[in-house]
Amino acid sequence: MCKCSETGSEAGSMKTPVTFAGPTMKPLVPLSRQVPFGEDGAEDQTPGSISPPATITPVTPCKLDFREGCYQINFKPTASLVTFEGTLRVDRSAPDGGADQLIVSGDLYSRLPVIGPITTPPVGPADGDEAGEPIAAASMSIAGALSTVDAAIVANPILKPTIPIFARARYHSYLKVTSVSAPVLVPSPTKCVLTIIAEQFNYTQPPVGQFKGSFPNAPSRTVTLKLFKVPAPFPFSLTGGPFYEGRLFEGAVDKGAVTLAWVSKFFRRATLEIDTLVGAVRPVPVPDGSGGTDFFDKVFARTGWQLAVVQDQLNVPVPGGVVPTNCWSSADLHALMTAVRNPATNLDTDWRVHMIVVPAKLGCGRGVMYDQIGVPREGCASFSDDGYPTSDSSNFGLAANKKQRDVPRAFLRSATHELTHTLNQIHQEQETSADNSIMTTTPSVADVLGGPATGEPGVFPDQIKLAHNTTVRHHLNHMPDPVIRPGGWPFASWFPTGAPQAADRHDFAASELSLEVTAGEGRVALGQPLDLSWTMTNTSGVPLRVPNDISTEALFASITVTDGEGRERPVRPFAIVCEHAKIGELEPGKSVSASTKVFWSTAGFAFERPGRYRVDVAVMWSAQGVSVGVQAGVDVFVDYPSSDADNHAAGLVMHPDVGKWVALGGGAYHLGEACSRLLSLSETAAPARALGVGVRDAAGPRVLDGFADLLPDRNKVARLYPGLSTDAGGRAARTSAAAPPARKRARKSRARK
Amino acid sequence: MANTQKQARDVIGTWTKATAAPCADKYPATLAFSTSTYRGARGPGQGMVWWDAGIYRLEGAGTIVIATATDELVTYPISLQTDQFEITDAEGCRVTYRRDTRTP
Repeated sequence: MCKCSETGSEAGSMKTPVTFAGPTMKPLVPLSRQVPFGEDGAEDQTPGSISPPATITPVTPCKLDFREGCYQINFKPTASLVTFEGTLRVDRSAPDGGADQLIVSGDLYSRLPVIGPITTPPVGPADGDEAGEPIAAASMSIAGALSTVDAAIVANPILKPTIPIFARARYHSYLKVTSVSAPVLVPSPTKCVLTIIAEQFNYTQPPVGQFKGSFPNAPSRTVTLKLFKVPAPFPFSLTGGPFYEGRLFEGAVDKGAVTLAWVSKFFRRATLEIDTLVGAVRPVPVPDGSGGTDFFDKVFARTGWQLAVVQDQLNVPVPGGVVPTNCWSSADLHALMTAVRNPATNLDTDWRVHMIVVPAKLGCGRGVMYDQIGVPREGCASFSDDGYPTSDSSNFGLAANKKQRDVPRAFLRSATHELTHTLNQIHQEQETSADNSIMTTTPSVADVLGGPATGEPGVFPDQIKLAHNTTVRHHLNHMPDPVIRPGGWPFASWFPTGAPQAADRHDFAASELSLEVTAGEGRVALGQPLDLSWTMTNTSGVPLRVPNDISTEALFASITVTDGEGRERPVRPFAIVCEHAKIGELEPGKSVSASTKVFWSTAGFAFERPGRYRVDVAVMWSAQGVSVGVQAGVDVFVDYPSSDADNHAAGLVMHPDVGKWVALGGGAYHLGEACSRLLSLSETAAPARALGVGVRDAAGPRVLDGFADLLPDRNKVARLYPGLSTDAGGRAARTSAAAPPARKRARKSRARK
Repeated sequence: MANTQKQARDVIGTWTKATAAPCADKYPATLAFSTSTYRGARGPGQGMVWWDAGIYRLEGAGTIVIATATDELVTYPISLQTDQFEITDAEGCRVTYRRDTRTP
């Protein structure tokens, strides 16, 4: 397999527009992104505006306190016994949060009915939200709903509230906040309203015994929270933070009462329990350069987590049959964890990570997130007597060939690395690029620090950054609870297929380079290949250096098909034809195009079943060492078979050999099974015509539309396979040499969208 | 020891996956081995790869130990030739890589 690269000319890009595109890949879970903090202007008095001199409208400034941190959210749907509670994380210091550095996300858990305070139902029609079939009712106006007096929803009285933690089995939905706004001024006596709009993604719990549930690709609904700041009731008054109450709307329909109570300056909380084997040394706090110390809790505090560190047992006995100064197996580490960790560990009430520190030796990898056994991600291990051999990197500096126990800063870094793996984060070499951050592997950090040419010259270990990078910080704070928490989703199961091997990938703006993807039809029959084409156009005013061949065979383009449940499947080229492909000049206004039939690849059939799909095309290449590209897609619906003929046809063609035939562009007569099935397909219209049935039936199954220019030559098949039956279902061929020629459909004449 | 050192030198370089079987999806499209560390890069359309970055070493004539995406050291039988090697994982998947001769 050849590797296509930007050969041919090394002069570099004439113009390489660079646009920061945020995280370079899209996880397979909903994830809040930057939102601006808007200012509702409908009721503002614009300073300097001309107003009738006889009237001066008093205004009230709105100084809503929507401070950063974690809010406990409670939602009581109208006329429902099931309520919802959870957390809303308001991140106002997100480096990737746009101009306002704002990202807001939340998680809701269902709460079973309890005997508690009787709340006055709001004035207005009942609504069967969440509890069963919706009850049709007239909607109350937003103004009316907002004016309704409700008793505040208060959690069971406890001590000073903190970040709540709920059982995994009760998880209900993720809130991806897309808008936050509040007015600057309101005319008196209008109330100041905080408006939060969120897409809600309802979660499907995993089957019993499994740990990975699913989110829909598209939001289940969009909700609007209209909130007023009110004095915080006890016990929330103990936090010193703001308290909001109001209503939740779906469109203009009032769905129920909601409260937001600030409970913490942190976004999430967890516990780290450290047990240390006899002969090992656990990580210790290290100077932070400002007169204080850094430790696990400080590192996570910088990210926004409240991490309680429990330095538990020392001198844990060596398990029988284990040599502690050798490399440890995952099984031995898991067994040790289950033997020594706090027996009261309950992952439904505490996000608790166990860390076992053992000696091991040089060459064991410095640590491991070993727990892919049973309940996922309960524990990790750190190796005090492993270290920094120069064979791993020539940039270890004073740490070279030393043990971790003797290099506290580097030891703390690698131990935090394993802890962060346990919270379902992956190496940055794979997700973004190697950098001086926690989730880059140790040798790569040393190499990043290695010298002037590596991007961040410095010295290992002193200039190790004990911090997560922006991408990992974003994930830790805003990925859904089930993905992050110990005992939730298996490791890396959120990682999408088709994501680029991002190395600071930058996407072109549409005004620079556009990609248009078109499908021959927006709806195809089950088993019908989809004609897909894409055109990349230089929309800038200058020549751009781009690939001269953007077919998938040339390896610059990739196709990903995503079904309605968010499952992605790549559509890989069957053949690699890239020797001619190179980066060349594309003049302004000029385009380069490619097309293919989306049907089958080595990853399987693209459209396995009826339903809706998204087909995305990404074109990526390297410009002066930086990954750049464009991406676009189309929505496609695969119809359900509506006749026996359609069913039969789909059964004929959805065979790997037919897939290979299509992938090869037809003419692959060595595929006897494909020849047989496609001949049978071509015969499906003939019997109907012979019986004189209606025009639609005489036209044959819709699948035929996609094979119009792909059907085999009957005479050639007869020569190559004299005894071949034309019916792969086992029936003898009904027709003889008088079989009608393969139907030629007017595929190419169809207008492309 | 001398043989292992020679083998280690033999694996240094850039390799491209030649196996298209679905079981090999979790192995990177390209691998770059340095002295004791490696980097894996995904190909177009590829998902999470379990050989992404970390340490490795050759042990004896036919064994390679690689640190995976969780930093776990996993041992694989390896058949190493000048321009090709093949590993077999615990699930029986055989994955072949060919040396990329255009890179040093």
